Amino acid sequence: MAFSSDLDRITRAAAGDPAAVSSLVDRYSSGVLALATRMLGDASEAEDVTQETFLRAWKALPGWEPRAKFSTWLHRVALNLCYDRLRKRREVTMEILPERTDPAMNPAELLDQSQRVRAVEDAISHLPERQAAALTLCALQGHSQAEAADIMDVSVEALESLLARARRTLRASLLERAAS
Amino acid sequence: MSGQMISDTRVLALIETYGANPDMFPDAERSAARARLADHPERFAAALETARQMDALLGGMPEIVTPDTLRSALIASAPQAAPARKFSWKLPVWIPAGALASLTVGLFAGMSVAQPATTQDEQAEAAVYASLGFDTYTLDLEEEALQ
Repeated sequence: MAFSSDLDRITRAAAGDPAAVSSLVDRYSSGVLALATRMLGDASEAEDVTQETFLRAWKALPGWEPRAKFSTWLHRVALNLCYDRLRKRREVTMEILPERTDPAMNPAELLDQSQRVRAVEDAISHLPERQAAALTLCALQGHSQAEAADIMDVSVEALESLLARARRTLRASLLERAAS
Repeated sequence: MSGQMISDTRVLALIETYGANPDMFPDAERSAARARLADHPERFAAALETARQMDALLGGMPEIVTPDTLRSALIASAPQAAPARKFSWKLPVWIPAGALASLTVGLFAGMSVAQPATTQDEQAEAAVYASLGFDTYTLDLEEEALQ
């Protein structure tokens, strides 16, 4: 079934139209799941966050404000749920890695492919939470600067700062892992 | 910022923030940054190389797809359409039995208190009185009978 817009999907989903519900799930669940997976570094917790996010979405549908952008709202809910879970994990002290900027070293060359993927996933999930969110939204999920800033409720300038720091920290972290 | 100047510092900041691919730069600064990169490649070569390494790592991350079990759970948790109410003719046995009993009692009671039929003349006279606005015709007749 073709839908003219997200508002069309939302209106029909609120009335219990199964095709509209499936369309919203197919359109947005992977993005939400990916964001939660990168933020939390745990597939099971990421699925829980995705379920909770969509439960909140279903509850919000009947009173949906037509001007609101569903994608932004959904990602913001997911991100806040991730922040909540990360705060509960605070007993695990985050190690602040020293920043290394030796351009001669290339982390990609120091790790094989599967190690690389695991190392990057792990390193992203250990970034400070707002850096991880900025990097995931922009570099991994392809959101525009404005969209990512809107989801994170920060200015575009603040988003840029978080992104730059995220890339520096990630590089330093990967070099550290490769060297150890 | 197309056609406008952009500083080397700003181009370096864009590379550090968004990576080596100018397509990822903000729309407003992309053209100017491209021009600067083309005009002075030697100034940005090291920064671009470092950024490319990170881009390759991030670009090699596997895509995350919603598993079927999760998809089904998400759909199942959505609001359901209210089921259309079906009218059923299959009523419990006590309902028609009760209705029949009530009908029987009602008929019996009605027959017990029924007024005797009046003659055609009396009915016609009552109709005339009623049309004239009197509603005490029966009472008047009873009073006359007493006198």
